[in-house]
Amino acid sequence: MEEARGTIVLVAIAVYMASCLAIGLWAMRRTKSTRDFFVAGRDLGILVTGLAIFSSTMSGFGFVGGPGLVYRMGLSVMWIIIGIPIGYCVSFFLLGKRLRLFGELLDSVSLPDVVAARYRSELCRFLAALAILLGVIGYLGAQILAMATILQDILEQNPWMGDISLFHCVFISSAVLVFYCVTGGIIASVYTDLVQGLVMMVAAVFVFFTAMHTFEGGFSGMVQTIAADDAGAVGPWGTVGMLGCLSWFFLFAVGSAGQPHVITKMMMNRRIEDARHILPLSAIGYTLSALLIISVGMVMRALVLSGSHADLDHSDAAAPQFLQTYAHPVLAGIVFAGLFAAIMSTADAFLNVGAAALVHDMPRAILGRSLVHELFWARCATAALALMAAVFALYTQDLVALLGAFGWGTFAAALVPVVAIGLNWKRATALAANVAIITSLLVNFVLKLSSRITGFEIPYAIDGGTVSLLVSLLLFFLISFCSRQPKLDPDIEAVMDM
Amino acid sequence: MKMKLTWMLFGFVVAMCLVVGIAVSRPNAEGGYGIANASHRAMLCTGSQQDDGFVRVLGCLMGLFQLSFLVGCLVLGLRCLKSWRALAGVFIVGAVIYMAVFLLIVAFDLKNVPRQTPAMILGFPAATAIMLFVFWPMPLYFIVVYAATFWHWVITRDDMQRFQAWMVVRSRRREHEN
Repeated sequence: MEEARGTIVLVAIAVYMASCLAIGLWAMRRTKSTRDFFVAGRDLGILVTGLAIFSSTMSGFGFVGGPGLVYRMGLSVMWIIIGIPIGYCVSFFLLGKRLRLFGELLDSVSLPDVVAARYRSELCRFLAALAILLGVIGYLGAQILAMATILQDILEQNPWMGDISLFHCVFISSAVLVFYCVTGGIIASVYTDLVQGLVMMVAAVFVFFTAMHTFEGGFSGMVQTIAADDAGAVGPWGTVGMLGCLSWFFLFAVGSAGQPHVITKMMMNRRIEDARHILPLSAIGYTLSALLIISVGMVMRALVLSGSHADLDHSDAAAPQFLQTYAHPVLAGIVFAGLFAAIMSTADAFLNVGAAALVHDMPRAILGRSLVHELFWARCATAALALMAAVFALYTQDLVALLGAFGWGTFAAALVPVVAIGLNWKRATALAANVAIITSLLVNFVLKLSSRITGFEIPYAIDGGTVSLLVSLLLFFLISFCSRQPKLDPDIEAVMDM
Repeated sequence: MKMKLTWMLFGFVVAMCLVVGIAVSRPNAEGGYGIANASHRAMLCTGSQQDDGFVRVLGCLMGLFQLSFLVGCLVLGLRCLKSWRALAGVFIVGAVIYMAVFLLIVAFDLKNVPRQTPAMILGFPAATAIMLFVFWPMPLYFIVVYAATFWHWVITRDDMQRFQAWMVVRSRRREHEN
C-alpha cells in the first residue's frame, strides 16, 4: 500500500473535488434569485449553518499554517485556537439574533446592506463593501496559491503525471471552486462546507491519535523532549511571549465578530432560535479540527529535536511531511482532502461576500439602485473575482502574501466596531463608523507595508491587527460619545431594542 | 444600563491602548523573544525578555482588560431587561472565573522561572495544563448560558411575535407603496 501512497492521495482529492462539483450542480437547481445566491433564501438548517460557520473559519492558514506555527513557535499558537471559541460566543451574543432579524426586516443579502440601513449612510455601505473587497482579494489569492502549491506537490509524487506547472494547478483548483460557486452560489458553498467540515473533523481526530502513537510516550514524551531543548516552548506563552500571545487572543476572539464570510452566515438560518444550537456546534467543530494543529505541530517538533526526523527547511512543511511519513496512506488521503476542504470552504465564502460587495453594494452606494439582472451579474462577478485572485496569486505573490496577512486584521478592525458594536448600540454614529473603517484600512496597510519594506516590527511581537482593532474601537467609541445621538429609522430602533 | 456598559467597554479599550502604548514605548532588546534555534533553522526559542517582570505585569493587565471587554461584549448583545441583577450575577461569576483561571496560568508560569523542572499535570507543565484543560474550555460556560437563557435574555417569544407583526405591517406598506 505504501507504494501506492501518491495515487491514494490523488484519488481521495479527486473524489472530494467530484463531490464539490456534484453539489454545485444540485445547488444550481435551487438557486433562482439573488436572495438564494447570496443568503440561501434564509432557509438553512442547524447542522449546515453550524458546520459552515466553523469550516469557513478554519482556512488553509489553520490546517497547513497552524501545525507549522506550532512547530516554529511552540504553544504560543494555542492563543489563536483558544481565542476562536470565545470569539464564536462574542459573535453569537452580539450578532446571532440581530443579523438574522435585520436580514429578514430589510430583506438584505449582504453585510453592507445592514450597515447602510443601520447608519442611514450610503458612504458607510461603500466603505464596508470596499473593506470586504480588499480583504477578499488578498485572502482569496492566498487561498488559491496555497491550494495550487499543495496540488502541485501531490501531483509531483505521482511519476506518471509528469511535470505540471503551478499555472495548471491554479487553473485546476480554481476551476472546481468557480464551477460550484457560480452555479450554486451560497447554497453550493454551504453544502460543500458541510462536507468539508465533516472531512476536517474526521481527519483531525484520526491525525490526533496517529500523532500521539507516533512518538514514544505520547504527549508526555513530546513535552519532555521539547522542554529539554527549550522549556519555554511548552510553556503557556510559547516562544513568542505573553504580550504577543495575548494580542493574538484578542484579535481572534474579538475579531471573529468582524469576519464577513463567517458572520454573513448568521443571516441564513431558517429560524432565529436555531442560533442557540448553532453556537455549540460551531465551537465543537472548530475545537475538534484544532486537534490536528496542536498534535502535528508538537509531534514534528519533538521528532526533529529527538533526531528521529530530518530538520525541516520551512515550518509549513510540518503537516505535509507528517502525513507523507507517518500517516497511513488512506488517512493521508483523507487529510489531504481535508486540507483542500479547509482552503476551499474559506475561499467559497470569500467569493460569495466579495461578489455581493461588487454587484450589490457598490452599485447601490454609487448609483443608488441595484443592477438589472443582479443574479446574472453575481455569477459573472464570482467568476471574475476568482480569475482576478488567481492572476494575482500567480503574478504578484508578494502582494498576495501582504494582502493575505492583511485579511483577518482588516476585517476585524473595520467591521467589529461598525457591525458588532454598532448593531447593539444606538448611540453609534455614521461618522464614527466611517472613521473606524478608514482608520482600520490605513493602520493595517501601513503596518504591514512598513514591516515588508523596512522590516519594522511592533515590539513584543504584538500583532499589527490588534493595534488597528484597538485604534478603530477607540475612535469609534470616542466619536460616538462626542456626537449627538443619531436619529434611527423606527423599525431599526425597534429591532435594536429587542 | 447599556449606556453604562458601553462606557465600561470604552474604558477597557482605553486601558488596553495604554498597556500597548507603554509596551511599545519600552526599548525592545535584541533577542528579547522568539529567537532562532541554534541547530534547527525553522524553530524559534524563548528569548531573554520573556521572563521580564514588568512585561509580565503589562501582560497580566492586558489579559484582565481583554477578558473584561470580552464578557462586556457578551452582555451588550443581550436584550434590554427591566432587572439586570440575575444577568449581571451570571456574567460577573463567569468573568471572575475566567480571570481567576488566567491569573492561575500566570502564577504557575511565574513559579516555573527559571525554566527548569516545572510541576507537571497530565503530562504538561502546570501552567500549560491549566491553559489547555481549564482556560480553553471556559467558553462552554457562556455557550450553556446562551442556550439555556435564549428565550429570556436573548429574545423572548413576545419579541418574536411583535417582530412577525411588524413584518406583516411592513410588507403591506411596501405593497401599498408599489
